[in-house]
Amino acid sequence: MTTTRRTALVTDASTLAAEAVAERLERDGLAVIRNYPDGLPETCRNREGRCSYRTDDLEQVRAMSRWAAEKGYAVRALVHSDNVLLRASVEEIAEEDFFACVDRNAKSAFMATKVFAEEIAQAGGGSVVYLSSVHGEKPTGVSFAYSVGKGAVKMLCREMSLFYGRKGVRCNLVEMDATIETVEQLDSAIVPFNYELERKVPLGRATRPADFAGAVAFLISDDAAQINGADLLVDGGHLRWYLDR
Amino acid sequence: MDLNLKGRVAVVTGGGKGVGAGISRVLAAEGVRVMISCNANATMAEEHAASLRATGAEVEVFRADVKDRRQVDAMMRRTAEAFGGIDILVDNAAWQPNYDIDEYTGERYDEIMQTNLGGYFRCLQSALPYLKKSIAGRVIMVSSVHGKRPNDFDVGYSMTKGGVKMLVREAALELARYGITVNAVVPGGVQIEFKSGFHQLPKVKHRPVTRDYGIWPLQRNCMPDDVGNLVAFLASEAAGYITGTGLRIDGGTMLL
Repeated sequence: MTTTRRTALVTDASTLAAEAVAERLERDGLAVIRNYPDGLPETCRNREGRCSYRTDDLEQVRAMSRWAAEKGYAVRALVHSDNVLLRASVEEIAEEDFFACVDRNAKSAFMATKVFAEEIAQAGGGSVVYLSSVHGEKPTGVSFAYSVGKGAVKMLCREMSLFYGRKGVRCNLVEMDATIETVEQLDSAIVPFNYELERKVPLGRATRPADFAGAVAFLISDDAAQINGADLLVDGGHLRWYLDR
Repeated sequence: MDLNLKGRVAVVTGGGKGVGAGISRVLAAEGVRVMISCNANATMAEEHAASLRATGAEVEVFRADVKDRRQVDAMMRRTAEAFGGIDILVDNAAWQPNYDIDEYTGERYDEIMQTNLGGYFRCLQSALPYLKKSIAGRVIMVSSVHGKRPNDFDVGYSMTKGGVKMLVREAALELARYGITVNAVVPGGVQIEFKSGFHQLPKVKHRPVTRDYGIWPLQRNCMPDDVGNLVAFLASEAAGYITGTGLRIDGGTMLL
């Protein structure tokens, strides 16, 4: 894989999937900024490339951009990785919780794109990858606000592949399936889709964080130079059971 | 059509103009008692309601901003008081300002999300206690082909329609236990009197937009009543086993 030396920003490095992406991109030779919107973990204090900015606030994202520039980073790849699931029903969720969940998943993607895709374009081009979810298409049965947010991110990616594609910034989306680590969050009496996850995945195992990392690394690399506006499903074939994509 | 809808009660948000006017017109013609909600265009809504009443329809107008929970709750209460309940919710009120991402401020982003996505959710949650009492509750959300295909002139609008797609699917599963169906109608362009916003439509910024109906499969544009007919069908008993889907109504143009 012929990735050129660039800095990648991972907008929420607090999940296993995002950390796997960050580690993989470092192995591929990129400098990586890890952002932690919910606060810098103790283990990350005073470590290079770690920061903590809210991603669903435009001014905070702009502040992150200034911080990165002051530290000498030149962001050429944006990996939006905010994935926050809230178990709550349509009937009972409080309105502020609905918007908090949607904003964390979708507004953060919008604001990160607005600031960093523009920077990448002005620097001559690069790549945006939305590390999203199969639940931009498939309902969860337990977190409709999460699905709504991911549905919005999917359209953001498609629009941005046109708008920023013309400016040399490729925009693609990775649809993550549940992993062993996340499947309990998705346990649903309404949608028993993830029941016996390993048996239902044709490749015979649940998807792992490293699988997402490989997909992101590929999409960022020059090997994907003509891939723009794609939804890359990383699920071992699991969603072949699901019709409505 | 006689879809056996006579006497049922519908709330149509944004039902006084554009696509919403077509929906409220068709439902009223089917004998549905219709609450038309409006916000900025109260005069248009009242004129439209008067034209429907002239045909013998039972129609009321309620001014409510779908971004405001108290106003939405008041509208649902008033509908139940006036007509005895709510059987059909048509989420239609939406905003399409036609901004590219570099034109969206944080405030503008919040405005479109609160209207197009928040408004649909808010009205659904507010109407739910009444829909649960209906013998066949129906929720129909007016979406857009731009919940799947980018439009290239309003990223915020597309994002909200991508969100609506998932709101429909999730709500359909969750509310099935109450016998409530939840579906979307998915129009392409619809010939309406105007659209609200700050730019003329379509904003031909990045690509040409054709209005040469001669090359469209059905050689005409979609009219508001075309959408109304589909909504009426989805509201009817005949559509009782349809839930969680989005029905494209674009005259085949998205196949080109």
